[in-house]
Amino acid sequence: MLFNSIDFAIFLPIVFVIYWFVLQGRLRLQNLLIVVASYVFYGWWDPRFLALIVFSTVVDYFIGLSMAQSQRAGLRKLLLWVSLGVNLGLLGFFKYYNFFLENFQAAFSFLGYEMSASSLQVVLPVGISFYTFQTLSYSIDIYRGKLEPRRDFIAFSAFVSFFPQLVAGPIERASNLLPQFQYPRSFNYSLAVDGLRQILWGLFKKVVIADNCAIIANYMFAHSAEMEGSGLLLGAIFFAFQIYGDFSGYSDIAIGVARLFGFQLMRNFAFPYFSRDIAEFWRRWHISLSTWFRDYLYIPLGGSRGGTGMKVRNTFIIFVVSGFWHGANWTFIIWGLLNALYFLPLLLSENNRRHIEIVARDRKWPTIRESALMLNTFILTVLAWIFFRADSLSHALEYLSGIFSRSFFRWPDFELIESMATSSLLLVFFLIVEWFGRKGQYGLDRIGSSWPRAYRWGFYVFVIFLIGMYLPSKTTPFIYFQF
Amino acid sequence: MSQFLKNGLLFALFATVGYIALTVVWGSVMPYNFLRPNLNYRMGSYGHMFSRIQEAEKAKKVDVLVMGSSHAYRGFDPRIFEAAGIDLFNLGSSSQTPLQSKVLLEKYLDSIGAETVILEVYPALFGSDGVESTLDLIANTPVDCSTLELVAEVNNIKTWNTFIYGVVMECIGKREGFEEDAQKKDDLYISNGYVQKELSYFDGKMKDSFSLAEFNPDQFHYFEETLHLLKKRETEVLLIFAPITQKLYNSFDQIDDFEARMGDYKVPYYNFNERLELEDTIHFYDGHHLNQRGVEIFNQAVIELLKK
Repeated sequence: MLFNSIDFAIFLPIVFVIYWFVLQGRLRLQNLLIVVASYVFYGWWDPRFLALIVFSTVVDYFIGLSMAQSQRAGLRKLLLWVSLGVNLGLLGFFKYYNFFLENFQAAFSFLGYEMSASSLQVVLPVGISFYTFQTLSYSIDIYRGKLEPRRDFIAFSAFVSFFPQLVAGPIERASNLLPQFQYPRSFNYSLAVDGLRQILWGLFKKVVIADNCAIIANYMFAHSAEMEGSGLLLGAIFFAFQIYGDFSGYSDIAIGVARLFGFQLMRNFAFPYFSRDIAEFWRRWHISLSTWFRDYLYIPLGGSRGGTGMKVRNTFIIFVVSGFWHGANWTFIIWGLLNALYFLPLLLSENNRRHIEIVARDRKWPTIRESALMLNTFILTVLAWIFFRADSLSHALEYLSGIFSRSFFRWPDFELIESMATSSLLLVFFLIVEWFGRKGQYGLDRIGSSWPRAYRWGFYVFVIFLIGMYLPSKTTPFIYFQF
Repeated sequence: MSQFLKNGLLFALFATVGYIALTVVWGSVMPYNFLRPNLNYRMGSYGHMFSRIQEAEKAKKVDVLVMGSSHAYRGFDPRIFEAAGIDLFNLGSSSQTPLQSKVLLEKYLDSIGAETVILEVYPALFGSDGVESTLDLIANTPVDCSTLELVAEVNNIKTWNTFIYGVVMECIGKREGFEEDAQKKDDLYISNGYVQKELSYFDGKMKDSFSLAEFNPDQFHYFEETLHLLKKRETEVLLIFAPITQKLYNSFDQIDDFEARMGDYKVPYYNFNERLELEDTIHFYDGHHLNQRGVEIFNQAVIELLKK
């Protein structure tokens, strides 16, 4: 079920009413409702996918219990490996089987051997990369002794399948989300209103910003061979806003929906395009994944404790794995590598933690230097996004060479000028709201908090109106569902 | 919780009023087709629907009523039928799908009271979502409950916004003061719903082709409801696939499927693309529409059929 669909607009109020009006004060039944609702939500795509999530839940539940009961280090390690094997095995099969097969075939063919194996028509279950990582964090934390296993199977199932963040995150840590299923929840007016506000902003980002930018970006990437360099750069810029609006919009809706049910999810985006260097960008972009890799890969590999060589090696591993996590394609791996290269000078000069606070924290506007740094970081990310969006490496390289050609100095000639003008004006509005809301958790968080209610509501109605006026006729799936 | 519900309802009310107000302001301030992609209200738009509906509201009883797309209102010339002693009214509209045909018939069949109804059937419109035609009807027909029903059936944000704007325009009497020119560029409105194009010839360049991926089952459902309605009133029905250029016709690969579906209704069905031999560059002015020379030939063939 898509957040931006009529189905979800009906589903959410029904679950909300049952949850708070019928089951208030009955924790186990509320958790059970979350499990049922989550399975309905997930099974809406394809009920067959449910088997995977149930399997993953059962395996990790029993492994968690067995690990905690066992005193033998060897057995605990074995159980952890079973959990890793099952979860990563499922992920590997559904997501990477064909990729590895094709690359092995290509490698053997290069060496003069023909390998006969046919690729499978594997359907990638929605959100598998997200919930797999979430359950893995549970097993690893129990193994490390940081978390007690849960005996309440319903609460554990609700944690694994919690529908607001099931298919595209934020990837929650068991230590943050799981305890929230254990304690009684009472309705919190401020939390619910805040949730609705965040849902509104997330929806705006998705259907107005991302889906309108997608029209231009899709056109440019599809016609890159005959497009001027200036048009190609515009296409890449629009894609940068498309992916930000799409993914952070999803995260805002997910966090907002969770708040309606009394849950606090971790923040996933913190205005990444206002970053002054690439290290800051990565602290603000897809935070739940970056910190997951930090906690469960970077630190176990030695983190920053070793010498420069180890730091560089670990950084490259993190970025490449992060790229590969996004999809079984070399374009994602190169995207990861490119970001590692951007990161490297900051790491070597030990400037990677220079910008922690949001830009111009105590001021209204940035300085010229800050503006230049933000622009520089934005351009670097835009160039990297080309690899992320392109169909293949050759397409990405052709696209880049198109930008860096003489035609860059010609005005782009394409049939979507009107759409581009509309999207550009919407982007201006969006960036203004994000800029003035940058000290909050999300764009609309603090905007209008000191205004009279009529003005504040009037502003929200204007955002709703923009959604109604610029919502595309056909709903588009969220980009990150494919990961 | 009660505060949440109370404020929620208050906000919903505030949002409804605010949304309507903003829609009206936006529609009045923004130029047509710019910065308002989901608000497409154009009184007196392409196809002379406004004039046609004004005539339909005052029309006397006729022998034949034609429903359908631009192939209908540019393909059935009432003057040719009148010369053969047949009173004909053309209630076609741009991209009219079976859904709009049904709504228009429910609204005007009683007053027009035709003994025979010709349903012009065009395969691509059985795959359409009906948005374009609904927008045309909202702007050019009086907005009432049947319009709301139509908008709810199509259920698209564009039609909802345009409907809101249309209701307000109706309330402030904007329709009453409007007069549509009979001549618009090379289109001339002819009494009883026909639009005559200045004689010109198809240059062979197609703007589109049948790129129909699949039929929309809802449209067949509305089509069946229309047939049921006409059967109940004991009105004679003819299904006519009006001529289009061979170039366009041949690009459609679901023609057999469509013919079989039409055959299933046990209502006389005539495909004039198979019955007439017309030349693309002589009898058409573009890939879709007959020029006046083609209309003459096509209409004589229909008259012959009606007389039989």
